[in-house]
Amino acid sequence: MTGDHRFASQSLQAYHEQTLPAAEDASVREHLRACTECRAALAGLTELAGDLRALRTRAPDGLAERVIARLDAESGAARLSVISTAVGQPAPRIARRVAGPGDRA
Amino acid sequence: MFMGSPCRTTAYRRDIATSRMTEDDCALVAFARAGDRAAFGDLVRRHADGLYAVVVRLCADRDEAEEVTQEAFLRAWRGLPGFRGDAQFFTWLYRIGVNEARRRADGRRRADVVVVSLDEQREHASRDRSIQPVDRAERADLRRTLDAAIAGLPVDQRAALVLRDIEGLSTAEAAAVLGVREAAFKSRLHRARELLRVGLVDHASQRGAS
Repeated sequence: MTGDHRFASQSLQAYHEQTLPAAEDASVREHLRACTECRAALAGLTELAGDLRALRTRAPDGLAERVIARLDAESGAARLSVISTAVGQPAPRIARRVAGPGDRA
Repeated sequence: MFMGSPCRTTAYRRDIATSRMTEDDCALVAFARAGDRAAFGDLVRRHADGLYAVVVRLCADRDEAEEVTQEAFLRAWRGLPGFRGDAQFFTWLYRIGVNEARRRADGRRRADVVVVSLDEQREHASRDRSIQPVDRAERADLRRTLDAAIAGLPVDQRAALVLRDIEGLSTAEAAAVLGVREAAFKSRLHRARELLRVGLVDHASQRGAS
């Protein structure tokens, strides 16, 4: 883009994201009314933004549980035993924490 | 068992129903710092998929991305006592993961990665000569083209683009993950978008010329 369009690449992106200061936003909007090229560029930005958001990679099933299993495997047996004593009980360890989660600053 | 413990009961659960994400993380982090692995397990469940989605774009393949994800959580667990809480937990975690992914990437020959991605780009190049709206039939092809173009970006720019434009983090969050000021992040992101645009137009030109 040249001439009047020079603002476009960064300002048009910011306009698209609605992060421009009001005066500049109005100025870009005004320009867009008269400029088919910049309108097309804005349409392209909008489309690209949507396409990029749609690219998010889906994590493999069970990822979190595998991470947790590895944490279990690599942590000391001591902690595991502490937690296992709480199974099926009123969990006194937690009760203490409820009383003061911020105690350990 | 870590995730089977009844410890994940009333205390922070009640908070979660009524508070924002960040506040939830703060409560879980506080419990986890005190040694509550069930609370850390919840942090894993909450952030594993997001972390994976970020690092997979920086890794050689999905297997490595899973390894990096696991490694990041292990380090986070071990490093929790030193986590000061002046960053959000997930930006701290992502930073660990991104740094690990970059460390591994540095160990590979960069040229190899670029060659592969360019080949893919040619293979999947779009017929469009510019980034204009495309019809539904061309979307799948565009997606592959975008994937390849992103893979071809230098890692700094790629990380910025992935965090902001794909994962939708705010500028402040993404800058925190990368450990740079917001102004520097914006400049990096702008550069990434420009490179992506150029890459996409190049693909279209290659396709048009062939």
